[in-house]
Amino acid sequence: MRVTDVALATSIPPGMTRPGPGGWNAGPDWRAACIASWPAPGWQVLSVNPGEEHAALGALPDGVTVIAAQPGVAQAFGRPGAWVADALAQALATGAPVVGLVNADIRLDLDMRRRAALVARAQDRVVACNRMDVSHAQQAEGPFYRYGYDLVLMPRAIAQRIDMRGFALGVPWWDYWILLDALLQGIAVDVVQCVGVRHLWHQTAWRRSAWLAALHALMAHLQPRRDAMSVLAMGGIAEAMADLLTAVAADPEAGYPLADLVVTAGTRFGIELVRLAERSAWTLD
Amino acid sequence: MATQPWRRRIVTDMLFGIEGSGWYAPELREAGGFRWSGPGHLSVLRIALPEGAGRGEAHCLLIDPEALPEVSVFLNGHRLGATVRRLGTGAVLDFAWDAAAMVSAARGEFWFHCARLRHLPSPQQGMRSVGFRLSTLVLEPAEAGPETPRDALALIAGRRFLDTYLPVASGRARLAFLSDGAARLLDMRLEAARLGPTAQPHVAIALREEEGALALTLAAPGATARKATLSAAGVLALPVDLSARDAMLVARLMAALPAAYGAWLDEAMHRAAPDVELLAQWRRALARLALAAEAWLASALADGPDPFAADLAVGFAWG
Repeated sequence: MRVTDVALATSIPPGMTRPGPGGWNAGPDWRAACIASWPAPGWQVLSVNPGEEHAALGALPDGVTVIAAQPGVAQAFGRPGAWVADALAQALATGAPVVGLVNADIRLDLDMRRRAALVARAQDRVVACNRMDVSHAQQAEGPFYRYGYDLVLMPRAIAQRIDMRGFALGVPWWDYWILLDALLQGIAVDVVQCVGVRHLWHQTAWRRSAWLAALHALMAHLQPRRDAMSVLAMGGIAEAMADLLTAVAADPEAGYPLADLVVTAGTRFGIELVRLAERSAWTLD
Repeated sequence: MATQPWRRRIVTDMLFGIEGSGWYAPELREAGGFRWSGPGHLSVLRIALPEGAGRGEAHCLLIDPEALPEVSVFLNGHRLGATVRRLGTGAVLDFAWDAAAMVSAARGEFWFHCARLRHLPSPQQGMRSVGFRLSTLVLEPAEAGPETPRDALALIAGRRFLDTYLPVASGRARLAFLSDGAARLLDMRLEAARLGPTAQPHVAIALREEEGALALTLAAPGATARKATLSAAGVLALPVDLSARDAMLVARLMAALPAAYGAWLDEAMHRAAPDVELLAQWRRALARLALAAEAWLASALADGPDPFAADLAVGFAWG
């Protein structure tokens, strides 16, 4: 029996819609290609889904296992899904030395050398990969999206120290919090761009309520560790944004113009986190 | 199993504060941030960068169906080979530099010279002159910087030592570019400069470059003009009648001239359409002078008379 080197958790959606040429829906093919791309020798994939979705997932390739998700995501964010903490715990339960998360619309064009390079780097740190956007499945090269991390790997000892309660896959901010939580604990984070981490571009449906709820979750994690943030030397603006967001999270109904202010401050705080993580930015050929 | 090579990236996101000039305030469009270059043709970015060769990408935002931007890139006065390509909804300017562009430079001074400017409505009021939208600058130096804590310690200690014992300030530079036959002339007037403990209301430095050699005349109010030369081979000869400490201060001032030139660019290039090749030639000449001055200073500190035997509070004297 082969030992699992990497356990990768995700949450495969029952269906996928992506714009294709001439109005054709490229989503089903892209979904299938993504799922097929994840397993590899030594790489085990877990899809954590609410029970009501299991039947609709269809046939999955060897190496991809469906696991029942803990409840509560739909109530928190308005759509069914999986908690990140739940997904990470399932990956840890496999006993794999390296665990990770991948967004379900990411196709991994990673040969074994690239996979080995990523695993080697993830032995003592968090490795967070930007996605490369393509407009069709065959496109060789596209721009990287710097403001998100779609494949995250780390050793199990670090995963056990990261507190992901309150974040859900498919909802913003979870990827930022993994990096910030690690950095607040003095754990190294590498941001990686590799052309093998691919995403079929689509318009993002920004849902303000989910974005705000996840941002509040992040601030709730950060608030008791605010002092540790100063050690990161993010600068006065970043710290002021964190303090503002914490204050508004504690009293969101305090009136004008907090609703707009939170979006602006949250956006700025997000790009501050990206800049912080990019202090160690790498390209994997 | 062999692992793939990793390359370190230094990312400058134009949404944040930058060191440089010739850029408008940052803007956010959908998921991408950028700054327009302008209102002049020349835009400057200064970025801490290790010595040695490297490559880079300037990621530019295009709003279809825009043409690719026509931008020349310079690093510390060296024109870089650059190509532009479309990538997604943007454009990428690829460039590379060799070690000569980063010799003895603590940071990279990138110039972006945009060939064509457009007049577009300003977000505030009226029209404004813009060049191209720069989103991020990604640099991949071949070298990682000081390799050991000992190297870093020496650099930090050396910098603090010089700042404490041989402080200089180049002040505000005003420049005039001239020519005399085949020779190129640059008149630098440094206002409110300082050499050691002594304020210099202004220092006039006349530079003459001919066949690779530099001749300098330094003059201050009430003092006799002093001559210095830098041979084409890079040998620096400072004025002979200065004290050991004051000669070091003059060398330190020469080493500070590229930064003074950069500060002048930041001020003077607003709305300008400069002869960028001429600017680059003088940037390289001043870098060569600074490098020679630093080498002279290192040699003097190592092997010359003790510059600190005298009272450091004694004023600078032009001899």
